[in-house]
Amino acid sequence: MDPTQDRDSPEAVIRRYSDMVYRLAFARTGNRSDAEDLYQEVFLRYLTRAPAFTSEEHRKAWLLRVAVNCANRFHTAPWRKRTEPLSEALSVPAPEGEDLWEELRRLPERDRTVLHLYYYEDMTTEEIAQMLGRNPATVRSQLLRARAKLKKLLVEEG
Amino acid sequence: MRKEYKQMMDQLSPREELVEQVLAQAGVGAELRQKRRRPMHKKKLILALAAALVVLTGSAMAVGSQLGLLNVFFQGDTSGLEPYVQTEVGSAENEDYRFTVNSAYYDGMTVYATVTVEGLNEQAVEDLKSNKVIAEYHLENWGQEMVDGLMTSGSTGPDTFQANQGEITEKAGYEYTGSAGGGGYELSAPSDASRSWSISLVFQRWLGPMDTPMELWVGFMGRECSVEIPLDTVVGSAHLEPDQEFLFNPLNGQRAILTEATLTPTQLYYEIQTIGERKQDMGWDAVDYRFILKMKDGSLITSEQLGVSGGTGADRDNDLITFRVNFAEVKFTDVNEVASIIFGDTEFPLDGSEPTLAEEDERLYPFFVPRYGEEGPFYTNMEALCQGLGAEYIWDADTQTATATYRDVTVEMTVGSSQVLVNGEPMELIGDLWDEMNQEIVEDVPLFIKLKDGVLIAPTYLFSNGSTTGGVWDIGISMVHLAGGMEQDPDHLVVLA
Repeated sequence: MDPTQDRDSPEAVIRRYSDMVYRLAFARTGNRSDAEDLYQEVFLRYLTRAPAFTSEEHRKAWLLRVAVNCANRFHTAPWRKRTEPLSEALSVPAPEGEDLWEELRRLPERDRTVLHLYYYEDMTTEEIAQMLGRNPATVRSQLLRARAKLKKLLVEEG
Repeated sequence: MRKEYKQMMDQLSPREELVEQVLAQAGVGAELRQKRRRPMHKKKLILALAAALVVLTGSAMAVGSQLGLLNVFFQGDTSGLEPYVQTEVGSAENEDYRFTVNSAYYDGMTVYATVTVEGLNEQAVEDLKSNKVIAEYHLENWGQEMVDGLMTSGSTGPDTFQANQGEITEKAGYEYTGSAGGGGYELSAPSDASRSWSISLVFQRWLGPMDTPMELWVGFMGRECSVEIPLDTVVGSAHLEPDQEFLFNPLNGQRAILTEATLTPTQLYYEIQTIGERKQDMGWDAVDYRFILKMKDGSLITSEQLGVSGGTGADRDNDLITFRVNFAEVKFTDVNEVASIIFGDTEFPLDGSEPTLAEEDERLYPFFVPRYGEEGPFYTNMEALCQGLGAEYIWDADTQTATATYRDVTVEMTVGSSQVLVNGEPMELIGDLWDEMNQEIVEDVPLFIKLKDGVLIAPTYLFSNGSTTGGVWDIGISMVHLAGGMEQDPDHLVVLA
């Protein structure tokens, strides 16, 4: 059987959630290289530690939560050694909507995570709070303040 | 904003090679899961999976701006920095394009530059102006979706500009752990055949003058068309290695040793070693990037007044923390104007003489104020705020008006009004509120001055930097984080004068 025909096969799951994990990793880290590291780590954990899921929503939420947790540890880890060619520096992306992206990158990582989960994954603040292990009021407050910072940055840059 | 955010994110997908690598892991993983019925040596598992892991990286910077080099990144009087701005840095060209670095400024930790790309023939100009040459360069690493997005937006992409930050960092003797960031904006086109940008690149730490120049190139032209930006000249700096213990965080008593600090007019880099593991209790991170410059004329400049932003690095095994601080405001252009840096309770003279306990009234310790307003911008008790700052506060019960003055800025607030007077000038208070019933954000609603338990409360963003408008007192008012994480104290805010 073609493994991609089995919806629960690792290959099918990776294909299905590849963009989702990558985009959250990118939103959180702000650059392609770190996003790629994080992306690989999330799926490595999926392959080795995933529980039995009760539903597809459960699987999706698990992947998102692992991505957030990995990102938290990623940036508090001791200095990481990189195997990239010395001639290359890391990417600083500018997707369409360059101004918005440039200003997003200037926000703290924790703000970018909440904004991404709210705006891109369409999660409610209760869902975000549950995922991040926080009080929903805390998440709402953080969301409002992140938006305020972003608006200020966008206004300043014209 | 949701629509724009989604459109922006929809352009991003992992490289196909990365997906294939992960899928290859899945193949290994599947094998291992089947073998799990038998005990498996943990080391073999790790090695088997590690074999499939390859970290591939690329390089780029995204750029743009409508303003000049120094004006893009700094406010205030930057004229004293002009002598350190290199002009006509260099050009490189191939048969189709010329890449020019017009100007550059290096402060020992960040490179700022303005650049121009010019088409040298009709087709090249058309491809440049239409963004085709920039967009198509991203096909291999980013895919057609990115190409289409860049053609639509006309903006630069992640691989448009590239540099040799890794080489420079390792030549300086440090491990390269990646770019600390950067960015920039497109400037007005200098001619019908060209486009210009201003860009910045931040190193992970202070490097100072370097014999190794930065090489900067346009991705689609290749490194063979790079331009060198000399890094051997840096605006005057002051460097300390005091190895002196001090009270790092007055809120929780955290003590640390200042091991190194380097100051220029546009940045501060410093390293501390905490005494024991870093404390994680209330306000544990409130003083990150917090310092006070004591000038030789006796005046004080706080980190809040400099509009700081930055990043940290940590070596937890050795309790080391590094702080990389970029200034948005230029308050001085000659570091010799600065007498000392105050961290916590200790004053560190820049002439290297013995650190001493700072004068009590110069420590400007952070303090807590009440927090209100869970569904929108924070509010706080103005009397408590002014008391903590040592600001003048006058309450007129008859008119329900409070007048508060700090750093020569007077704010007049009346209960029930969404308009305040700042040095006599009206300012409307607006913000976003959370609509609990509809579970959505309502934008740009008036924010009213209120009474809470008989005391006037006002939106904190009016007084604090880093908010939508205002920041009229050049102070910082922010959430209090608890327990080593980002969980907030629901009842308090922390103020940095």
